[in-house]
Amino acid sequence: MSEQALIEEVKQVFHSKCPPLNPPLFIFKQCPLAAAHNAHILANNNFDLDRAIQSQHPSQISYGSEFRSSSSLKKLLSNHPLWDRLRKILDEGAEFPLDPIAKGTRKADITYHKERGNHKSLAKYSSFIDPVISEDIERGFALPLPVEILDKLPNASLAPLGCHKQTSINELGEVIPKYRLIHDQSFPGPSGLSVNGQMRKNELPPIMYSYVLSQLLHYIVNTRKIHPTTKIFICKIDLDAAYRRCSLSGKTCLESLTIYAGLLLVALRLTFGGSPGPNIWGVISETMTDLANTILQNEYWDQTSLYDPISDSITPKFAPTR
Amino acid sequence: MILYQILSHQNLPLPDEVPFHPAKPLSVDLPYNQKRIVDIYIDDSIGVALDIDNNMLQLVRAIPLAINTMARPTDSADIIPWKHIISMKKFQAEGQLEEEKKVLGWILNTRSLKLSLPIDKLRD
Repeated sequence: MSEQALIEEVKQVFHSKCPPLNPPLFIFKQCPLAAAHNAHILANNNFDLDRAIQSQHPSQISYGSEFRSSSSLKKLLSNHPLWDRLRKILDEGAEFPLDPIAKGTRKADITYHKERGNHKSLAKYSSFIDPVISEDIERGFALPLPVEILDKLPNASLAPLGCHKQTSINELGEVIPKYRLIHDQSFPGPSGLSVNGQMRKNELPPIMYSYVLSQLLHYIVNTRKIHPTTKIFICKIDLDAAYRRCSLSGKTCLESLTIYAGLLLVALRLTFGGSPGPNIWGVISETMTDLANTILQNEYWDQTSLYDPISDSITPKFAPTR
Repeated sequence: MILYQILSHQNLPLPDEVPFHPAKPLSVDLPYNQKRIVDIYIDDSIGVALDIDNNMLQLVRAIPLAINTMARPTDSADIIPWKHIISMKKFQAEGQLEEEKKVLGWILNTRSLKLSLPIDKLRD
């Protein structure tokens, strides 16, 4: 695709409207009634979560619903090295490549996790975690079901929840505490097995993030060497609930179960605790970043006409040095 | 830290009297063909631009454009609460172009070429 055609395609996709989504049949409320309703829908689909999700398409719980459709993005991104993986994530949800676990072993591990419960850190920070879990449910990231349905779900894995206290910033840039919900998919049952332990790592895409700081520092120093007295500026844009933007396949959702406050929660999105998270999210984020760099290098891009108006609030208000 | 927080909300360059620290030779040879770049660490999209011509305007406009070319636009008609994929809360605080910026937990100063840890990382 020529540079001119590429920028025209960016323009076309960026300005295109997405078809409206249907309301999902599932109810995303943290209550037993909603859980019972969701169990009924699942039962109507023979406890096949993939089928239940597909039957509600197009809805907010459809695979890839946080992004434009693969058919809309194909022309623009199909030459990207990660395209085949990205298309699969958008169309079918992300799937963890797992070694199989025998049915009996799975059942014994589930029984153990069910009796053991969550990590102590969850109880310690429960007042902070309650709203986090409520938001996960209300935003459609976690599907509430009755715990009793657990035996009926095929190839299910249950793992404990924990909480990690970390820091974030508010709108003023002030450091504030943040409570990160951890889905401990490394924690083994009596079999010694866990979802993370069963991961076939060689089937995952490579993680690129590890080199970011080193790359940035090299870029800055090299730029200073070439331009000894020209200012170098940095900007940072944070993605909201990044992992939760990535749908999991029906099969992987069932490998990502937790229990909280008497409800069985099915993670419909990438978990904080599933070891392939960085690899899988990287497929989306690296493609996004490569697109940004491609736009930046494109001589046909007119940044005064083709841009997102949200950029206005961070548009530099000072004149360039030269 | 207080000074850092003040500076980080002015969307301005550092004062002119702050000298440009000269770069020492790198241990590797890097090709130089980009006056601005974007990189990402999980959910932090980081852009760096040389203050020449319209580089900086391009940088702050290219990142949201790329993100929202791929992401589905928010729709007020959706039943489930749907938030913009760019964290608007942090956008104002961190999106501004600065010569000194907290990146991946470190403070990067592109004028003094210093990398330092913020005070809140200090442990007993």
